[in-house]
Amino acid sequence: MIQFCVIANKQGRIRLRRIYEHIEEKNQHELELAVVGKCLSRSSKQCNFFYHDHLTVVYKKFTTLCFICVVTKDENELAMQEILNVFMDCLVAYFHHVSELDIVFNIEKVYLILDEIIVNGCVGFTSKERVLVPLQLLEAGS
Amino acid sequence: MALPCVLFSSSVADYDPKEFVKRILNVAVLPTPQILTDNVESYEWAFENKYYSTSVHLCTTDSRTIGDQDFAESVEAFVHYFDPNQLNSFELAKAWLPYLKHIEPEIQILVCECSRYTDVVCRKETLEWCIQNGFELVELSPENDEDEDDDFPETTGMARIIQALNAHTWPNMEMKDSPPVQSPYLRQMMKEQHLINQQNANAVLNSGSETSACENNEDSLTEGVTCNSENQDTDTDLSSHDAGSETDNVKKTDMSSNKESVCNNSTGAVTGNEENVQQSSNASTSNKSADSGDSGGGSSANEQMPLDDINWKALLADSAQTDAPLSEDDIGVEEFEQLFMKLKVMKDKADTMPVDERKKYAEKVAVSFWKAIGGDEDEILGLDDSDAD
Repeated sequence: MIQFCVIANKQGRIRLRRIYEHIEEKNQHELELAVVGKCLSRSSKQCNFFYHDHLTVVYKKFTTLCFICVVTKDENELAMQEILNVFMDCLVAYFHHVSELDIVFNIEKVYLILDEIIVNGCVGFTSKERVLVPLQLLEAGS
Repeated sequence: MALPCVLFSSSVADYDPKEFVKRILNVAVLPTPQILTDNVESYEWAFENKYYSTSVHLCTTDSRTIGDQDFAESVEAFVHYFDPNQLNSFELAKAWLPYLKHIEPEIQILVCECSRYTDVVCRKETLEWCIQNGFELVELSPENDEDEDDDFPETTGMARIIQALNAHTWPNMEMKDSPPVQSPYLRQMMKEQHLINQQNANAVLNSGSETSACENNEDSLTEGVTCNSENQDTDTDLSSHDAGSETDNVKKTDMSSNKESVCNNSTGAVTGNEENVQQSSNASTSNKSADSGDSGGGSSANEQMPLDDINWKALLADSAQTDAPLSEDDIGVEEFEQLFMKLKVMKDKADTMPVDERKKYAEKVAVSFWKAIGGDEDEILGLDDSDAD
């Protein structure tokens, strides 16, 4: 199961956080700090997933942002990698040139997208068209 | 006043932090600075992006300072230049940390020309320090590490510093109204969808006017048939239930009351069904189409079908009485269609008969229904014989 998802910038500042499995806030904070630090310190030639304690960390660097998905070990790393790709694809499809700025100022839309893809720690929809439907409806209405 | 500040400093003798300001303001010569506090010179920088516009102070200092409290609170970003080939320079950068604890800038950037693994301060060490302390390392002239199959190349150098400053939510920023967020791809998609919706709406309007113009038998008949096939379950349930509760003697009165209830029921079903069909064929149907559906269904129910409908049900009730079991699954729409055509005639004929004959006649009708639905011949063999007799 997916424990949590974060988007961090290069300074390690968390821009988006979605937690699916509750752990104590202090522990969660420490875990995030450690995971984000590890992700940021890895070079682009290193593998995009690694193990941290009893968890698998899958991450994807995207310009100045780092998309991180922390999952239990019974999940497939490549599948998680692909989920991150889908998430990114959706963001790119929606925002075109997505940047940290776009995410900061449209965080609710980013959450809307993420919540279609990952539901309660499990993979929901994986079709880009389907994932963007709620946003389209929302905007068609406004 | 108190504009938010970006504080620039340097721990290299030959790099003046004013260089940052020059390049951000994109001027060759800086205007006369404003002195904020001791040793802190500031230049105003107004900038905007697609989400907001704001202006901030770009401040430079040559010595480590937190200024006064106002200044410390107004500093939102800290940018420091160092030289990875001078150990001293890196140490001086580290010496800022206690000051930064007080200033607590949201953005922290460590700048150098280029950080290599062969430098005095190794790239690895620099990166680790940055990550630990929440800094971002920005290289003004980075070495190209060749994995450029990347679709989304990173912004580097001065542009990255400006980008990072842009991605901050400044306390004094003025948000713009409804900035164009969506990609052209998405906008195109939504435009197309809008067009399709419009076309659908038009089509519905046209078809609606057509059916009302030629409200003829054909339309209402097919409507009636589809409605019947869909509503069989409820109808037969109802009739068999009635049949079970009624006795032969009171059947006649019951039938008439049954008639009415069924009639209401079926017209309701017709209109309801009609709306469903309309809605499923056109997601964007307006009230207009629903109205036309209503009137179409209503007229058909009143003019043509309902009598047949009721008779059929009454007869089915009879057939239930005569122990002709009804297997609903076998009922075919086409076969019933033909029987329905005759039903009105049958009903009129039955009305003129005395009770006994009417029962026999009903039996006949039931048998013909039985055959129409492909029921087992054996089961009605006796009935057929008695009829012949």
